[in-house]
Amino acid sequence: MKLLKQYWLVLLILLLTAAAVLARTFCHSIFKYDAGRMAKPSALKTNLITEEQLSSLKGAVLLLNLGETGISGDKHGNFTMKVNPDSILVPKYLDKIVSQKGPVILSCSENSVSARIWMVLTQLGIRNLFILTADQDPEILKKEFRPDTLSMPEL
Amino acid sequence: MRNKITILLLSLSLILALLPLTANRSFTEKPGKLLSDVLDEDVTFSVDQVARFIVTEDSTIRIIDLRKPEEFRKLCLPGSVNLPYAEFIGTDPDMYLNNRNIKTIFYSNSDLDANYALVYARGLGYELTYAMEGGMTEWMNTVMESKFSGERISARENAVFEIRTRAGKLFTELNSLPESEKVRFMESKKFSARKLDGGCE
Repeated sequence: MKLLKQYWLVLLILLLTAAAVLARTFCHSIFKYDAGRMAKPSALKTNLITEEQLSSLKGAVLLLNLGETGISGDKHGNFTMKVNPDSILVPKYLDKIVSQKGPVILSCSENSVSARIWMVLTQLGIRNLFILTADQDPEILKKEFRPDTLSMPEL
Repeated sequence: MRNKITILLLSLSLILALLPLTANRSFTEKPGKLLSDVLDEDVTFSVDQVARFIVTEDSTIRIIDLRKPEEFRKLCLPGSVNLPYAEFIGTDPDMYLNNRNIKTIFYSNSDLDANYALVYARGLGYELTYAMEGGMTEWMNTVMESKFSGERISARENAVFEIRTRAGKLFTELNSLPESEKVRFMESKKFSARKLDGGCE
């Protein structure tokens, strides 16, 4: 008791700091992870999943439908949540995503929107997050370029 | 004794306080603000807008090609510099985005990598970063296959068509260079921390 009285100020600072650290550690509404490390699956393309792969997934899947279009949750017997992209960080949706045990799949007609949401959620520490795409790698150029051997640039 | 305990407790407190900062670099923006920023329409440029920047040689714009070097060597936008996406997120972005007065436009073959890079850069505080809608695929569809059919053309349509034609010509000229010349040319223009200007010109 005497010790507590002597060091009450230091102990108070320590307790407050510990509380702040714990809050920061377990809080999912701030960015605290190493950005490059969290973004790595996007460079390796391990964050992409096709409809075929999705149907073969085992375990509970949370399908986040980010637009009007997208596959139906009923078809796969999994939980589907329709959510407007700009509402994704609303606690009722974010809590559901954070507490999801199985994979979370982002489904949207526009890959650009899925990519942006994926990066934001991933940087918040949400793992097991995938983007549903039509192709295994949408970043492959399918267009052919025909060179014009007669033209030369003005260098 | 009292001093020792005080120092010990304060040291513990400091260690605790610094624990969450052990990450190399994390996003600095607040999640809500970042989400609202990146879902705004103003964070992208259409291929027509990018074509105009290229034709007018706009010096306030920097175009970054996020594709692999071999893809860049094969085909690239005039004036762009190559910075593969994996390299971009694996190194300090300040090496490439340190000039905060010019706008940086990311593009890849499609929409994914450019939009990852857009959020990544904006999350780290680089506000003047943008993505080109549809990437190289959209460029090939819109600019390179631009055709006009009809009897009348409005002034606006004519301006867009002219920009597309001129940008398409520049693109064709550059990408028609013989492989040996092109490789040499690209190597000299490879994006590096030391050399921030120039590129696939």
